[in-house]
Amino acid sequence: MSKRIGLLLLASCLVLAMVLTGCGTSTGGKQDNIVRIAQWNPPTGLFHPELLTSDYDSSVATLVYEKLVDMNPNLEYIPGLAQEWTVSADNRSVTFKLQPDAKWHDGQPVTAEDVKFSLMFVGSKDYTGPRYSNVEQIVGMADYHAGTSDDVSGIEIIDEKTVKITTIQPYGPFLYSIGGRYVMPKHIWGDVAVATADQERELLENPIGSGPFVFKQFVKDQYVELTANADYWGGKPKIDGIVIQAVSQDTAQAQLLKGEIDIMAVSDFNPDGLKALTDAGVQIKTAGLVAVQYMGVNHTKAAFQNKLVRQGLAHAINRQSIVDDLLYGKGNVADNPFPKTIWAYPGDDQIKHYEYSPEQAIALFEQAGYVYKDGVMTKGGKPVKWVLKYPVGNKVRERAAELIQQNLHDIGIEIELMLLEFQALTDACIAGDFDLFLMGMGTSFDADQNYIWGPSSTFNYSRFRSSQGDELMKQGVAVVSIEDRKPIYKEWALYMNEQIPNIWLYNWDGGLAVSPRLQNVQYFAGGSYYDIVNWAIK
Amino acid sequence: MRLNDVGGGAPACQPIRAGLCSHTLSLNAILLSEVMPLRTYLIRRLLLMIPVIIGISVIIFLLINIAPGDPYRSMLETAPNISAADYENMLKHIGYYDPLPVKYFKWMGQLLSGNLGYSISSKEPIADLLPRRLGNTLLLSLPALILSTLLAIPLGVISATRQYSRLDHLLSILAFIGISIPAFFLALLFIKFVAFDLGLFPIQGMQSIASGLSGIGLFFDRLYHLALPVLVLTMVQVASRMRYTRSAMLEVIGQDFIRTARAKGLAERKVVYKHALRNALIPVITVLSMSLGTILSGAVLTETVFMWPGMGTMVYQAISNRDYPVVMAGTMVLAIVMLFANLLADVLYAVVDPRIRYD
Repeated sequence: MSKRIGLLLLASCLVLAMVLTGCGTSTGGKQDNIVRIAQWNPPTGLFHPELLTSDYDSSVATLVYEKLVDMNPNLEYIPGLAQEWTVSADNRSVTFKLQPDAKWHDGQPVTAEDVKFSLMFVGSKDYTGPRYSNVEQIVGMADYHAGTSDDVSGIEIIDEKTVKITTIQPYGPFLYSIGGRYVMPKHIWGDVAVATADQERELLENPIGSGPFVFKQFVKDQYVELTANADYWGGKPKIDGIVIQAVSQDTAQAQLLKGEIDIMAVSDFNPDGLKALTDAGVQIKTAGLVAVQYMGVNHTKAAFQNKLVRQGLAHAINRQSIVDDLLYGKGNVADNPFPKTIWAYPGDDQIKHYEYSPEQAIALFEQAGYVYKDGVMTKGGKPVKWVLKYPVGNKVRERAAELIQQNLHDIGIEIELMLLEFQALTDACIAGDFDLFLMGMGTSFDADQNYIWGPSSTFNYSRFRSSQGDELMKQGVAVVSIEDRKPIYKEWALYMNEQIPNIWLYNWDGGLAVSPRLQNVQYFAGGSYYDIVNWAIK
Repeated sequence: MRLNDVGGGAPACQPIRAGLCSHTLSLNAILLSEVMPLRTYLIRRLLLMIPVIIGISVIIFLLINIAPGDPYRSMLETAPNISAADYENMLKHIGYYDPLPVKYFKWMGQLLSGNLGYSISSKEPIADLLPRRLGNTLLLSLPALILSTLLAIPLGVISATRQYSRLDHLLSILAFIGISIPAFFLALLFIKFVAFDLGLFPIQGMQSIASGLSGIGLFFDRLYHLALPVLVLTMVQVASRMRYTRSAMLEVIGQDFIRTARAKGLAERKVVYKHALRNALIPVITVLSMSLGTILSGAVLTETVFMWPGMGTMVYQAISNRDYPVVMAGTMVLAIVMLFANLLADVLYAVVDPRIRYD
């Protein structure tokens, strides 16, 4: 009896103690000079930019380590660890000159040896990460990867700060694929066996890079703390540090309003949902992602081999209303393979826009031999009926499917909707078992789309083949300079725009919510850390 | 894994006469049909666990491995610079294309040699990851278990001894609210009103970020972060345990020996707490020890809402990342703990009730 009361007393004391300490350390807006970035999962500790596979680690690794060549919000190449680069006359070699003041966080200089080491790490036969194909074009890399040679002749060290890299043939995505590699310190990773590098917890969890922020602390399952690099070649960051922490999506908005976090990702732009944030002065930054949602058509079926039918479909679907009503304007209608954000996009005035027009759609179908009468589209006397397969998961896309069904009904085409699990749809796409399907994909920051439309692609679900397109894509990867590649890809984009092998639906935006106190954050498809040395707190 | 937060005591089986659990009854009925010593009984039960564990491992393995999708799919969707060849290589590297039986025996072989495998997303040995997460979960669920039991039993007794009083009705209503409100929703309500509006407690997390605290400071900081999630779990668990205690008490209070105790002139307090409660506690203890099994799994959603880095968030995050080895190891551990909790419940049941004996 008295024991029980004692226990109860103890319990209430405990609760009281909690309450009291709670009142003691109040959590108001943070007044320090540290930026807190929220992500939905904690960093896992695999802080090696060429081994990691999770966004929750790359958010840390990309602040500590640097690429040779970086990108600005216009998706143009800008100096990273490479101060400048020159392309040889035969388009096969690029010579990188490293930043003269670049130093590792332990004080050692960044050298050409580090660059060579890093490229060879990715090229090693024991490499366990997913980025080998980025370096396989370098002369001698294939042999090294196969284990038949010990050196890569295509990487030449000219002097301590200069390295010349040569590819087997002119390689269009050079600056993106090879220039986009991270440079790792040879004096730290040099003696580690490549095969077991992903198990070196001590090194992985205490990364030493050359970037604007120095790694300070990793509290497992919770957060990572970084401090500003006073010796950074690009100047000392104005903020003192960064914390990258795991935050529940359910409570992130509340924490942003309270000042417990400064930056979080936003993907739903419903103004009603964002009102609490915008009312509090939170900045919502959005930018077009390098990705597209499309309706695939089966080019092995006679109906879809006709360009007029595909153009008719594009006119029949009210894609503008998907952007306006479902994406709340945060996106744009897509009419060609390139998102508007990348340099290869030919420009709005060049691209033919397939505006929403049921009349034009019917006219195109009639031109293709269809008959539209009494609200029914027929071909050879049979009403047109197709099946549209689409995957579960993306709410906007699911609603777009219903809109497409309605729009096509308006021109007399009956669409049967079939909702599938993502993997099941992928299987159907690979097997060619579909009329129409909806899917989305991230497209490359580089203009080369051989991985979709090329002869050996595995993503060409629609099975559209074109020798004219292949020839242009071949020309596009045969030169390195962006200025030389632009006209080739313009021609290709316009050709694809006219052929419309898929009915592209829309490109959509990603976004960040940024605390009112934090200035100079620029968000773009390439990330949210651009020009981070100039981030400042009011 | 249980995705619905149940307050530990949610009945895996309905209490029947005298609070006996039908599940316990049936197992005991099988095993105690012939009277045997405790040691033999234990050995039998432990041996019986082996096929059960193998069965569980097959089910867990199949459920996880036949689910569509793969660990690198999201990479392919968000980072197109991963070529198809690299993607295939990564999948080959983790043995994704092995036939199911090969995968299963590889996994079992690993487990038997004491290797829990490696997380796919972090490459961390699961043997390092799991104990850390287990510890964090216990830190959250043990205080909740203790607090809720300490509150639930007296409240249940009061409720039963004053059956149909206003207090009883009030407690009943509160209990039904506690049972009906999902824990994650209750957690969100607390976050909104107590943490956000009043600012009394942190919204989430296990410690103040980058505070540089240590020693006693860290201890109080931890308490401060524990308060809300423990409160939520406690409230949910109190509700169901209070109902258990109440019904067990009512059952006992109506019996003849209580009338006898009253008739011989014992004080009402003594009747209730010494004679009635002792007997009523027998089924309550059984239910409690069974709920030990849900200590680890009972707080999944509470953990995720508060971003408490325990087993629950681990399994939840691993599922969303398709980190198969972590999901399998996590669910295996939960299942085994659950089995032992059931065994403990059966044994304790006999220990606290001398009428049931093994010899």
